[in-house]
Order: sequence, then structure tokens, then C-alpha cells
Amino acid sequence: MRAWITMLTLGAVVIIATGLPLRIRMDRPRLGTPMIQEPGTPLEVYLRTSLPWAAPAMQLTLEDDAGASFPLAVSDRWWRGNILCLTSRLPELRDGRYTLRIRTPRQDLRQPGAVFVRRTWPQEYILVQAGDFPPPGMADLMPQFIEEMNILQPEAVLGSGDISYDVRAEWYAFLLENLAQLEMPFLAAPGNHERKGWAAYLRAFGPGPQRADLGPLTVLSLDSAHGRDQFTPSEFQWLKQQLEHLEGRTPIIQLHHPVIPPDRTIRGESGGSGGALQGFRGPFMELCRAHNVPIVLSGHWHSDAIFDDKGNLRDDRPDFPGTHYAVVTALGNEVRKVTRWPHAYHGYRILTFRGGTFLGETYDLAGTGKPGPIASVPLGNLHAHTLPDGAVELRNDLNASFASAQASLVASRPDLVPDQGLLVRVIPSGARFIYRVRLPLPAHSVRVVRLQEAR
Amino acid sequence: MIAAWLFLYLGNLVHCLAIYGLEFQSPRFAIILFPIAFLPLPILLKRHRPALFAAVPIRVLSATGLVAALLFMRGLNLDHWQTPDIMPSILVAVMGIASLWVALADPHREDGAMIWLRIGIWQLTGFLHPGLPLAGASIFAFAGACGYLAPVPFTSCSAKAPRAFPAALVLGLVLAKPWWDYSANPGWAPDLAAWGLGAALTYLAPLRRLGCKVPMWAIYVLMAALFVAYLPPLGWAWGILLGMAWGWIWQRLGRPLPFRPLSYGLLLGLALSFALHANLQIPVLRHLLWLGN
Repeated sequence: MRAWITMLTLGAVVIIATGLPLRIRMDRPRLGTPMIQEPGTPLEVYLRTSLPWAAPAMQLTLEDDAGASFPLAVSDRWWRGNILCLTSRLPELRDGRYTLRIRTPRQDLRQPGAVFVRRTWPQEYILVQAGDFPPPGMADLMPQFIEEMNILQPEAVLGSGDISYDVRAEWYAFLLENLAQLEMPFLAAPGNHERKGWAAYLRAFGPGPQRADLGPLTVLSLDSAHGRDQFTPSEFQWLKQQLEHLEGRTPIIQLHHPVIPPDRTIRGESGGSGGALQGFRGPFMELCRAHNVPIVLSGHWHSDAIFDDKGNLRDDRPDFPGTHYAVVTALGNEVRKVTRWPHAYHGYRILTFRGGTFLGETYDLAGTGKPGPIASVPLGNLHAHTLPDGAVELRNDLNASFASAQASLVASRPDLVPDQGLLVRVIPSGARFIYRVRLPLPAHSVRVVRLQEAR
Repeated sequence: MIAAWLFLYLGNLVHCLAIYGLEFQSPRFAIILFPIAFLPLPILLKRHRPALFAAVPIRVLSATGLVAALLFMRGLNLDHWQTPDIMPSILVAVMGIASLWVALADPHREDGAMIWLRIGIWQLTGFLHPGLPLAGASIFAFAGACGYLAPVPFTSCSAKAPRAFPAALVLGLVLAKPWWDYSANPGWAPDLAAWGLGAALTYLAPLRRLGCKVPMWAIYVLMAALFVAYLPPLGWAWGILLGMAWGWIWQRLGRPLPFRPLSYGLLLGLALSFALHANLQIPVLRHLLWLGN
């Protein structure tokens, strides 16, 4: 008995001594694993506490881009050791991006891009997927990508792994600073390079896997890395459970490693790449077939490829039945040619949907007026440029038209109107006002948007 | 105390390094591995300088280990282990040396069911943070060095003593499966706690008698079956069965416990297990590594 008392006392002393004063860590929602919900629905906030079953007094608020603060009343809480889940009801806020802020007597924690309020979804909309982000030395491509996303306004941006090639805190700070400027949810899945500094990745984006319900879609972001190109049994089981509880939504899956190996389509310029998912590949493909998963997104090869569910590289046509196993080129790291597909450039995929129906994921690289096979969208062909008179020039050099691109204009007054397009919001920002204007942006076009007096 | 060194320190160190990353080229990594790389040194020292393992030196060392554990866990609370950082590496090395020293000082201290229950409880604390069982090893060392953990008389099993190295190697191969499965997710902790419970259960008289009768090859077959038949939803049952298999082996091992073969066997088993589970492209093997793969 003495031994037990001693051991338990020493254990308690170590746990208490390391956990005081009481502190918390925000695990979810956060940038990389955000919540996208309608007002009135329960918002679950997952925290880690420095001591099990003990938490400091907390104030939860949501802050919009204009800095307005909205308190969250906690209606329910449950503990599992040092995991604390707080449930609150999302207040009647306008649609948009919110920063989750938690204040305790010792901490003031903020997570920009953690919560998105969405009431309705457009009939047709897009998601963007990117992988193998710019490494140090190619850092200029990151702001370029953010600018393009804020013009395109996809419903979410999916980061399919190798988001960071550098484990240094300064590099993660650079990435987070850029990603926090995205005006839409960013959903992160880890890649093999993040494993080299796993602590840094977990600090930045939190643990996976994660599920995000985006209107008629469910995006499942998986961790295929595990240091060894595989799902493991517990993650595979989690995936099965999620696919069995879709509640009518269309599932989209992202993971870092391509599911199908290049096999006979491989060419000799793969730069050591060409690796594919090892663990649970067969059962995973069977699961995708059974649950009608329209597309599985991945990166890793730094090269575009799309396979059908029989493992064939589909460089013949973009519209084929069954699950599309798509691989996206690198957003910013070196580009390669892994399969017989001959094109190599930095880019990202635009996925188009009508309701819950997947329409396509390829780009019209040849300029034929309709989507071609395999190709992703080349980076660096969409620009927003502020002219000396305050007007904004949107330039589209792509072979693709966009029904609703966004221009952001700055003015010192809130009562102006744009000379074209639809004014969607005016956001106070210090002494100035940011105007968000949506307008069509045809292929190979330039649009100049100006603010003017309301008539 | 050897059990605490093996299964709280050595096992969880490999687990943490597998989660947070190994940088073999980094000189800082050598600091973490110091207690393992120089394992034969304290064994030699004990033979030639037994005074270094007397009560006072081990109390001082175990107290240092406890302080190192406190500092290590304080730095990791609500955070993740940045393995290239030098200070946590030094603290972990100090914790390891303290645990190793006390384990060598008195290999008879703490035998019996209770040690396995305590190890199981410390594995369960891995739910709070994967580094916490490492601190458990330091607490064991401190409590043992200060005489709070009394030696427990060992009742020998009539069965022939197995070879410690292969037994520990096989255990290392199997025991690590929940770690490779869950990675940074704390879901592995209940499975490892169940393993401790299973080992403790083998000290119940009927199970002890049964354990002495079961042939060694049958225990190996059971462990091989558990290597293949790992299912996360039944992890607790898997853990209890593996714990029982190990408890039966532990009771057959000769006393004093063969320290070096057990340490190296377990370490090699864990490393081999990691390497195997990291190479699922091997055609036949991959079906054996994860059931349903």
C-alpha cells in the first residue's frame, strides 16, 4: 500500500507541477481544420488543458474581419482526460470568415480562419486543391497563390500535403501568415515532408484526420504519410465510419500519396518520385467504389496525373465513369514528369460542382474551349493590380472563364458603389473601407473596377 | 525496476522518436541515444566499481532524473516534442541514465503483479501526452532508489527458462503495433494499459499454474497470432492477451533478470517492427502486418 501511495503521489506531483498554472491549447477549429457551419448549429471547440479535468475560466468570442466581437455562450462541455470539448451555438452572424478567440486569465489565443459561417451554397461552385507548396527559395509563389485564391473565391482550398518543406518556426510563421489571408476555409492534410518536423506541423495545423462538411459535400482529409506511405488500421476504420455517415453528402477525399502507382506509365524523369499509397490501397479503392466517391485528390509526385478505378492513366478524356484518382502538380516545389503526361508546370486543381454532383477537375490546357484530360491550372495567370487612382485591374490569362471573380478595392468612405459587378460587402479596416466586388472574368480578359458615387 | 526501464523508458522513447522524428545525422540525436548506446558501460562499472551503485549515488542520480522528468514534461505540456532541440534531448538522456542506473543497482527490486499494474497505469497516462510514460520511468527510479518499492520475493516457475533475447525481440515486434497504428493520436494508451493488466493477471494462481504448463512454442504462436490479428476496436483484448503471453515469459526468465539481452532484444524488436511497418510494399509481408491490408 505504501508503494502505491508513493507512486500515485509522485505521479500526481509530476502531473500537477507540470500543469500549473492552468493553461489551454486550441486544437480545433483552427486554420487547417476549420468549422464551416450555419448559424444556430452547435459549434464544438476542442481544447487541450494543462491538467486533466481542470480548465481556467474562459471567454470565447468570434471576431469578424472588421474586428467586431461576438461572444459564444458555452452550453455543454465534456472531458476526456486533458481533452476538453466545449459546445456553443453559432450565433446569427453574417456569412464569412471569423477568428476564434479564447481568453483566460493568462492567455489570449486567436485562431484566424477557424470558423466560417455559411447559410447557403451556390448552385455551381468550385473547390481548389494544391499540394507540394513552395519551399524556401520559392517563397514568392505563396503570395501569388493566395492572391489567385482570393480572386477565384473557391468554397474551400484543400492543401494535400507537403505544405511545409522546412521545419523552422520562421518558415511556419511565413506559411501561416499567408494562409491566414485566405478568405475561404483551408483544409490541411499532412505529407511526408511534414514528418521531418512533426511537432511543427502539429503546432501549426493540429492533428488529423479531419472531416469538413461543406454544404452538399463532405471533405475527408487523411494522413497517408505516417512516415511510410500508408493508412493504418485505426485511420482506415475512421474513414469507413465517416463514409457510412455522410447524411446525403457527396464525399471528396484528399491525401498526400497518390493511390495508384504509375507502373507502366512511368517515365524516367520522376526525380525519385512515383511512390504510391501502400497500406490498405485495395480496401480503400473498394470503399471509394462502394460509397461512390467521385474524386480522390493527392499530390506527392509534383506532376499531374489522373487514373480511373482500374488503375489506367486517363490521358484520353476527362469525363470517365467511376472514381477519379487525381494527382496534382507541385504548387511551388520543383516540377517533375512522373508519367507519360508531357506537361510540367506549377499549378493547382479547380474542381467544379453543381450541387453535390462533381463536374470535373481538369483544365483546358490546349485552349480548345472545353476541359482536356489531366491538366491542372497553371499558377501565375490571375492577377489583381491596384492602379494609381485606386481602381483594381483583374487580369485572367487562363483558358478558363470564371462567373464570379472577386476584386478588393480600398476607399476612405463606405458609401461608394462599383462601376461594374456586384458589391457583396464593405468591411471597415481602420480608417479605410475594403469593398468586395464580384464580377465575371472571361478567359484572356482584363477588367478594371472603379468605385464611384452612388447615383 | 528493469521492467520500468524496458517498457516505460526504452519502449516509449522509441515511440516518441518515431512520432516526432529521428534525425540520425544530428549530433543532438546522439545525446538522446546516449543511455542506450552506452548500455554496457554501467554494467561494467557495476562489476568493477560497485560503490557507484550504493544507496547514496543512486538516490542522488534518481532525484536528478526526477527533476529532469519534471523539466522535460513542463516543457512538453500542451506542446509537441521538437526532437532537434538540445535541452529536451539532454533531459531525456538524464532520465534514461537514472532509470538505467537504478534498474542495474537492484534487479530484484519490484517483481510480481504490482509492477505490471503500475506500468499499465503509466502507459495509460500516455493519453495525456505520449512523453508522460518516460516521466513514469523516472518516478519508478526515484521511488525504487529511496526504498519505497520493496523487493518482492520471486516464485520460480517450474518450466524451463526461455532465452531472453528472442523473447524480448518478439515482444518488441508485437507490442509496438498500437504505436505505429495511432501515431500522435493517444488511442494507443488504453491498449498498452491493457497489456500491463494482462501481465499482472498472470500472477493469479490459476493463470500462473497455466502459464507454467503452456509450452514456450505455444506462447510464441500466441504472440505471432497477435502480431497478425491486431484490430483497433479490440485493442484492449489484444493488449490483455499479449500481456498474458509476456507475463508467462517473464515468470520463466531466470533471476537476476538478464538485463542486456532483454534491453537489446526489446530495442531490436521495436526497431524491426518500425522498419517492417514502414515498408508495406513487401508483397506477402504486408498482409501480415495489418489485418485487412
